Amino acid sequence: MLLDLGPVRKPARISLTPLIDVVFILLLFFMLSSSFSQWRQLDLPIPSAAKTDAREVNVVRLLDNDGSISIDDEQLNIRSARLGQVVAARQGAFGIDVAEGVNTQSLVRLVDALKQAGAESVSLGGVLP
Amino acid sequence: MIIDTAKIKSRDNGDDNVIPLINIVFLMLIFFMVAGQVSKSDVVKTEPPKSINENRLSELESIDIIVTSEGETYIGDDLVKNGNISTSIKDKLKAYTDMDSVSVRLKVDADLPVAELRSLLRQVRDAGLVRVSLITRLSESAS
Repeated sequence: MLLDLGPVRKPARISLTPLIDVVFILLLFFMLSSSFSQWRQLDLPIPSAAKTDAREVNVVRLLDNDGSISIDDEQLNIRSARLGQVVAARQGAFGIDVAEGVNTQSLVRLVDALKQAGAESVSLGGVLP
Repeated sequence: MIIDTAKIKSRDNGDDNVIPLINIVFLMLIFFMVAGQVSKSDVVKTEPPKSINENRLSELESIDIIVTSEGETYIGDDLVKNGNISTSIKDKLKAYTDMDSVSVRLKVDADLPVAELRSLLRQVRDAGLVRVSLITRLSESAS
């Protein structure tokens, strides 16, 4: 006996267009909302009034935003190679003091430069209250 | 009658042409999902100073203070008047039980004068907090 099964149906192809739509929307979402900035933190411990530091402190005064500093009346720039010698010749901690009009970027740059020059301890004695 | 079979075939497999496109889009999607970090953005846009400092942000509970280059101060999402910072911090602190584990993170603009940073730090100290850190951006060289 022959059964009439009707015409052979081809399996329907799934269209890719809705998939692409969704993937595009997801892509846009992740592109717009993700951030690649790498935040770091620089600790600024605020000294309490009772605590006294017995170590010798070399005062480094930051004079302007170009990086001119004075250490014990000696003027130099934080980019100059002499900073390493000046730092190496001094014992103890380095306390930073800033002149008027200096911005935060210059202050952070000076902290970085002193650390790179080999200063073991840098304090923001003149900046912190 | 001549039937152009090539045309019929190409219409049938119309999706084939988009497959390379989908591949690329998928790759980009995976890249952004894996490499990017979806995080809450700040109320105002600031450009924190660049530094070679490599300390990652600590996981401790913290109060975030954002200061723009004009000196507008925000604690979390709220704009604060300049003189009221310590009062606002004290208000925020009521939500925390363990005071010692709370730190303050300052996200200040690189152009902010140090004098203003100093007055901000003074007010933070007046609020009774001593764990303060400055948020910086990682840069390759101390430029």
